[in-house]
Amino acid sequence: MPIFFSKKHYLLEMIDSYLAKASACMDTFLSAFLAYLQDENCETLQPFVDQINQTEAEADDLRRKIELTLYEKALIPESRGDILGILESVDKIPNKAQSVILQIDTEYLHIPACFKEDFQQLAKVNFQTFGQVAGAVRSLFDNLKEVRKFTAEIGIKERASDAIERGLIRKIFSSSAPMGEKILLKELVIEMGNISDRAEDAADRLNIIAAKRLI
Amino acid sequence: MIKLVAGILLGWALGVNDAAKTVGAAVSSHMISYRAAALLSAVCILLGALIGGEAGMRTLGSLTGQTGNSAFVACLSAAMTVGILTLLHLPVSASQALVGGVLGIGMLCGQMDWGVLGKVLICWLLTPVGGLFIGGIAYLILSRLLFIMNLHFLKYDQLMRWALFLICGYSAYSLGANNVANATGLFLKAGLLTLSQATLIGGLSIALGSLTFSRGVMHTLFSRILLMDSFSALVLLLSVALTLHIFALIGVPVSISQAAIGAVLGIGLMKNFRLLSLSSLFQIVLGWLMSPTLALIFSIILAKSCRLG
Repeated sequence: MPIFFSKKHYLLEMIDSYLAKASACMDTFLSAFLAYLQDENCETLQPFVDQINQTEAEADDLRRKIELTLYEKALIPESRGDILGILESVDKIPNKAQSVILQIDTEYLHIPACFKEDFQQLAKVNFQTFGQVAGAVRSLFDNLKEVRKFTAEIGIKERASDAIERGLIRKIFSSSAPMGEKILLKELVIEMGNISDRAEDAADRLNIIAAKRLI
Repeated sequence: MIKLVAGILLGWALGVNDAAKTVGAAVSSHMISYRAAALLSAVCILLGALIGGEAGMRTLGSLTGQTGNSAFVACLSAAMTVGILTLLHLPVSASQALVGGVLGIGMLCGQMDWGVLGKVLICWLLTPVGGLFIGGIAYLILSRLLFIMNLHFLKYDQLMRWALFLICGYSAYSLGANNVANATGLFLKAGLLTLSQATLIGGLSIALGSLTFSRGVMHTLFSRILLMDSFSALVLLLSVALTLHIFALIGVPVSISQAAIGAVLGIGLMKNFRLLSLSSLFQIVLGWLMSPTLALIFSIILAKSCRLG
C-alpha cells in the first residue's frame, strides 16, 4: 500500500509540474504576441522565442517522464490509458501556441493597426482556454464533479474564438492590404484559433474520463 | 480409492477452465501477478469448498443412488466431456456434464429422482437470468454509490484495484462452494468419502487446476472482458460471484460462464448497450444441450461396458 501511495503522490506532483510548465509556455505566448503587436520587431520577439522553446521542451521532457512512470504499474491500465491520452491531448495546446510564435518570427508578419485589437482579443481568448484545461485536469485529481464546469467554460471560449476568427478573416479580406499579406494573416488567425480547438478536444476527453468515473 | 481419480480429474479440469474466470481480471489489470492470482484463486476455492460446499454435495448425491463404480463412470464421462469440448473450443460446463453423466447412470439403473433433476434444470435456466438481474441491480446500486462518493481520479483507481482484488477472491470462493460437489459429491453419496474429506479433496483438485494450466485462459478471457471499463468488469465479477454463491446456498452447481453471460446482458441493459449478441444466446443454449448430452452418452457407453446397468 505505501508503495502505491508514494508512486501516485509522485505522479500527481509530476502532473502538477507539467501543468505549470505548459502554463508558463502559454504565458510566454501571450506576452510575446502582445509585445509583437506593439512594435512588430522580431528582435523584441527573440527572447520570447527562446523562452517558449525552452519551456516547451521542458514540458515535453516532463510529459515523457510521466509516461514512463505510468508504466511502473502504479495504476490500473484504464487509468494509465486515460492519463496518457489526456497528457497527449493537453500537450498539443502549448505546442500550437509555440508554433504561432515561431510562425510570426519566421514570416516577419506585418499586422496592420486596424486588426490589432481583434488579434489581441483572439490571443487572449485562446490563452484563457488553457487555464480552463489546466483547471479541469487538476479537478480530475481533486473533485471530478468540477471537471464539467471547466470544460463548459472551454466550450464558451472556443465559440467566442470562432466568432472572432470569422469576423477577423472577413475584415482582413475586405481591407485594401495586398493579397499575399491577407493570406498570411488569415493563416495566422486560423493557427491562433486552433489553440482553442485543441483545448476543446482535450475538454471532450476530460469529460469522458470524468463521466466514466461518475457513471 | 482409485475410483476417486475420476473425480479429481473432473475437479482439475474444472479448475483449469473456470478458476481463470474468477481471478483473470486481477491479472489482466496488472494488479497482481499470475502466480499470486493463481494462489489467491486456489486458497479461496479451497475455502469455498470447505465452508460452503455441503449443500451442492447433498443435491448431486440425491439425484440417484451411487456406488463407487457408478460415481467413477459419471465423473469420468463428465471429465471426458469437459476435455473434448474444451479442445474443440466449444462452450462447456462441468456442472452440466456431471448431471448428464449421473442421468445416464440413473436411466440405466432406473433410480433417478426426477424431482431433484427438475430442481437442477430450473436452476440451470435461472443461472443466466439470475446473472442478468444481479448484474443490472448491482450496476445500478454501485454506480449510484460511486456518483455520491465522487472519488477523484487516484482514489477511484485505488478503490478499483482493491475492490477487484477482493471480488476476485470472493468469486473464487463462490466457485469453490458451488462447484466442489462436481468433483467429489458422488463419492460422498457412494460412501467412499466423509463430508469433510469430500470437500477437502474436491476443493484441492479444483485448486490444483487453477494452479496448473489456467494462464492461457486467464489472459484470453479477461483481456476481452477488460475491454469493458474497470467498473463494469468489477460489477460483472461481483454479479457472477453472487449468482454462484446463491446457487451454492440452494445447493445446485451451475455454470460460471452462463452466469457471466447473463451478468453482461444485465450490465448492458443498465448502460443502454446491447451487449448480448445472438451468438452469446447460442452459446448458452449450446452449453445447456451439449455438455449434459455428451456426458450422458459417454456414461451410458461406459456403464454398459462396465456392466453397471
